Amino acid sequence: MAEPRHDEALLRLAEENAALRLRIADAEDTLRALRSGEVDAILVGEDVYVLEGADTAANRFRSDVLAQMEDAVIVLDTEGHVVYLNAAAERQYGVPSAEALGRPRSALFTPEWDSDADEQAARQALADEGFWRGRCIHRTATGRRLIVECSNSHLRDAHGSLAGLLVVARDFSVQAAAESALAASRARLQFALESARIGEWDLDLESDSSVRTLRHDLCFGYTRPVPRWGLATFKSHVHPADLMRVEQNVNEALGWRDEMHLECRVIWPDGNVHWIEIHATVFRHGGKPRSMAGIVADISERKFAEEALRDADRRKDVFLATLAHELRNPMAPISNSLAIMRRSESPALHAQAMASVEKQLAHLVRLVDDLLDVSRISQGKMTLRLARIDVAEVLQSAIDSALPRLEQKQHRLEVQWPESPIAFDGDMTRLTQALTNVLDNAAKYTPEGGRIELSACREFGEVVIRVRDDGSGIHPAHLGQVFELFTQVGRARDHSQGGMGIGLALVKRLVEMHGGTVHARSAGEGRGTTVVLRLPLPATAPSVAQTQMMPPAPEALPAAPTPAELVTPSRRLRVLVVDDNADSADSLAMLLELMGHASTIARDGEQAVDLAASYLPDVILMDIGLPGVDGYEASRRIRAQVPHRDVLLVALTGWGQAADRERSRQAGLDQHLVKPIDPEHLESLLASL
Amino acid sequence: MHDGAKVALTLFVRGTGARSVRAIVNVRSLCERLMPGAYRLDVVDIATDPVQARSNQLLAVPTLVLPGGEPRRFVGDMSKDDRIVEALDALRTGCATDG
Repeated sequence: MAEPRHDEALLRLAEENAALRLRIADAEDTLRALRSGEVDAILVGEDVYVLEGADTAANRFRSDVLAQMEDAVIVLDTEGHVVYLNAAAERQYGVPSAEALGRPRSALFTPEWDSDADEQAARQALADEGFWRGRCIHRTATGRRLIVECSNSHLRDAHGSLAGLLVVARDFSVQAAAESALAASRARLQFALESARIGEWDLDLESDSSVRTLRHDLCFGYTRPVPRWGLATFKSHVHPADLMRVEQNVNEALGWRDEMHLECRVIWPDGNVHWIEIHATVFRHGGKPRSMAGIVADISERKFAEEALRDADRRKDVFLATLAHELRNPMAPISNSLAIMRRSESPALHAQAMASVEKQLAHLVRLVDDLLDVSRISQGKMTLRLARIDVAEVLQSAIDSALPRLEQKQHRLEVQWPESPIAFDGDMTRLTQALTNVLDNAAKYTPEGGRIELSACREFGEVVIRVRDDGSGIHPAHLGQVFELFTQVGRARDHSQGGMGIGLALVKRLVEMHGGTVHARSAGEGRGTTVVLRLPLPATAPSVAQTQMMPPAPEALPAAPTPAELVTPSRRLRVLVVDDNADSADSLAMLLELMGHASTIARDGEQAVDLAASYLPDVILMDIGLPGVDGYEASRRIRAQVPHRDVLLVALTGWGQAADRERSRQAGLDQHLVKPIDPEHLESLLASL
Repeated sequence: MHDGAKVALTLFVRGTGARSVRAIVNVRSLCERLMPGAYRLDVVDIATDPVQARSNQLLAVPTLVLPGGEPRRFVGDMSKDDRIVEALDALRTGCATDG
């Protein structure tokens, strides 16, 4: 029993001995480690004694500095193992120091390069100079992609042999993201500017040179960048008419305003005029303007569209004013005639007045009919009643309709009939209407006793109708516009004949409905006009020339009536009536006689000036729209001629806008009456003298 | 391979002390060299985990504790690795025999 016990004791002793040896080995190892300075701290019970080695202070200083650094600091040994990383590196790569130490670099990150060449360059720099600095990507162990500004340096020991690699990496991702967002935003801005055709510029005032985009130069007509551009260059491109305004804008901006917003015209190298828009800011240094930066855009399209709109609007205004004038013109004799009929019992006067009313009424009706026709065609509500007709029928029918007007102005009509019948498909009524309008127009714009030629012939599969007059003609620039509805070529005051383009606009529309065309030709103002109507022919047929001369059909103006009844006013005045419209003048003169005043008539401005001197009127009733010398000019001349005379000058016109009244006042006219005159008003005006 | 088949090593260190850092580097390099993928290294900082340090009756840090019926310990920065290699080899073969 003793032996086993002995054995057990021996075994236990051996075990204890072994444990003790281990303890001793531990203790020896600890002592060895302590002696060779491999220990950081000693633990006694619960106390921890930190050992201060000779290099501890320096180490702590170093590690404190590194710990404070924002940049990740990593040291790799020659085998590529991580032997040091600071707190920033732990954060940046998301790996605690204890996990990373001793592991290969890939435990923290794997560098990625934009290209193999970049990687090669970095390796080469490190090999050659022991240092490389640049931007690359660190892919972390968890797959995050960091854009880092990185500097790699070789570490060497006291003997100068390679000891490892120091990597300092600053995470650039946030900044890089911001930079890339900025670049994207910049690209978007550039795109926006480019699509809006906006150019940018930055002008240095000291050197008068600028940095700009190509779009800037494009705004001035250059498809390639201009080598040098300054304020002076800019000014040299500005349209002379805008230059003063532009310079004022620039000076104000540089002087005190600090900003500039302007639109102006520029002249391109090819001579074309473009509109540009500029917005700019002035930058100062010590109060002195140093530079100016802004944008520029070509706004020609918008400007021209605006101009076209304004033009259309202006034409509409003119049209409405002309329309009012046109409608008022026939109303004057109607109103006068009615006044005559009220005041007189004379059957002869009544008959004459009624004839005048009927004539003017017919004119009014036609005017309104024309307007309605144009409107109907515009709205597509007019349909043609097509039938096979002969052009000679159209000519004859139109001559019949236009005859009264031709005769009234004592025009001579020469007709060259087609040599043989020219048959085509057309609406007889509408074509007659069109041709009548052309003839009326010719009669209107040709001075009394003029010559009007009408012809029809076959030409190249078309029937061609020509109306030629030797009247006032049309300026070449306006030839294209005469058929437009709202155009009345030049708002000439001297077109006593009225005319507002309704007639010709209707002609164009009617002819075009027939598949034809209409053109006007003129050698110039005062040199007559030729209007050519072309209508398509269905088939060909020979023709024979046949000319028929229309004898002049003068019609004597009705003799001035002898007043049957005379009212004696408080004072019998001498009144000069100036009006080229015979009906208006005659009826007004008759009305004045009935009111008990003496009157005489001048047909135009020059006659009015002469009669003002010889007849010595108390009152002059001056129509403004007169052929040649207009009412304004005549009034000025009369005022200049007899400045001492106390004559009442009264403008009598269809033009009733404020601007017209102002013009009357400036021309020396005392009153401005709008046609038709209210006889009561006229009577009281005369009585007040 | 689950953790049970791995050799579990514990390295006690003190913060980022220079020898502690060196010890981590050296132990990890050693393990990677001798038994890559077959070990688990737990680094315990006595500053943040003093209880573990006391229960292991440490004398100094850094100290590497190897598992076993009578755990082996090594003190220092583990730069003298002869005995550690020997001990690790023993562990590895023991482990392999066990497994």
